[in-house]
Amino acid sequence: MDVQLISTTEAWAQFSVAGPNARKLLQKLVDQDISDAELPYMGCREITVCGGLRARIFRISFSGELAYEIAVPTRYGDALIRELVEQGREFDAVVYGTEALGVMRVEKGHVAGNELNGQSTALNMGLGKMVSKKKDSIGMVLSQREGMNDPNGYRLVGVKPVDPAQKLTAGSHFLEKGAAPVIANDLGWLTSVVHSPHLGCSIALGYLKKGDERRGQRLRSANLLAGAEVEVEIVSPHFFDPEGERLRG
Amino acid sequence: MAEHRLKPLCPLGGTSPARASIGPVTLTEVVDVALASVSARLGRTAEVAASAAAAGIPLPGPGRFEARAPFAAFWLSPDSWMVEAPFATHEDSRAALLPVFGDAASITEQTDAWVRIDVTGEGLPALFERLCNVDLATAPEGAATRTILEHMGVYVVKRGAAQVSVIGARSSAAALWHALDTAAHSVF
Repeated sequence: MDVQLISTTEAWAQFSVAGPNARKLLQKLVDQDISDAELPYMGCREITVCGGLRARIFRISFSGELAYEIAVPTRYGDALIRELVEQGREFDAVVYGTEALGVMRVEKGHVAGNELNGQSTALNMGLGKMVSKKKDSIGMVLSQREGMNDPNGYRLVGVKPVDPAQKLTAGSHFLEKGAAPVIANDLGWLTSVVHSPHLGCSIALGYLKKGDERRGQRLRSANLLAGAEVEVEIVSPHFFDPEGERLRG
Repeated sequence: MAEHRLKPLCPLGGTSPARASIGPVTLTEVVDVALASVSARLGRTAEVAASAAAAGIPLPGPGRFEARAPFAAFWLSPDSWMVEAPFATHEDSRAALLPVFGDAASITEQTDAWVRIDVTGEGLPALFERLCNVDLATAPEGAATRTILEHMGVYVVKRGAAQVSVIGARSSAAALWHALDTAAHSVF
């Protein structure tokens, strides 16, 4: 293969700008046209900002809204965020951190570190249809092994407490009602838990055996270390804007 | 580059580079050098060498640094080098090198990925023997190597008997400065 790799992570200061006014705010800084036509969803461009500083813009969304990421050489990172805050005043823009980001991506059902555990497959995550069987790809052969295609295997699900006042705990295991808490009865586990201000309760993503067939079922989520259990309902992992209308606007 | 309105900061966070003198040595944050990585593409090593020679850009061998004004370079790995040039004239380091190498090499801008702290003065071996495994006393001028300094991966470049550059990850600038400063206070 003729490929050369080198890290440039630290050479760029990169900011996510998310929300219905993201494009309007960025257009105030970006010297080029970044309309929907010029920069569609998943597009990326080399651009300049603020009168000629070279930068990169990516239209991607981790939080599930109209969103972009904009990168400048690191030495201008401080100046860029201050400029974004200043120019964002007319849109009531606020700076947000990784905790808020974590809540929003769980609400959207976007998998992240906890779900990408080195054993999980596209099928487990509900992304099986994104892997074309007509084309070869790295991992294609492995992905077709029997163990990777178990119809009773783990599938990504959304989890809500039946009593919205109860908090979920990540790492809790799914059990049927009345099942003894032993490995043989283990149906999977909660991978990520956040408090959702949108839904007003604790929510989670999890891997649940035959999860696709269990929508609406009530199960137990058991935290054996604390000796605690919460009754949960299995729902779609896409708690918010399931059709992605905000994403593609 | 066009005049734009954003103001830059140095890796240590100041608007001007940091400097400190401890006994006979001085630590200086160096911010006037642009960096670019150059990696020859498959089968084009000879072409890259020829282009570099024609442009006056040194591409030294393993463990070596070489300067040929306005350029300098040190070896990173087989067929890969970090090329230095004055920031004032080569600010967009990749754009400066693309005409030289064309598509024979993969070139990335590296300037802001790194913090460079130059340590100058007398007694440098006594300082560095506490910090990393580079034997400065016996290393020749122009020795350049990747090593670990206070748990951080860095390049140590012996530009001269009394000038050593420590080049580390920009986000660790404060930690690197602290390590050098503390060791210097300990030695001198």
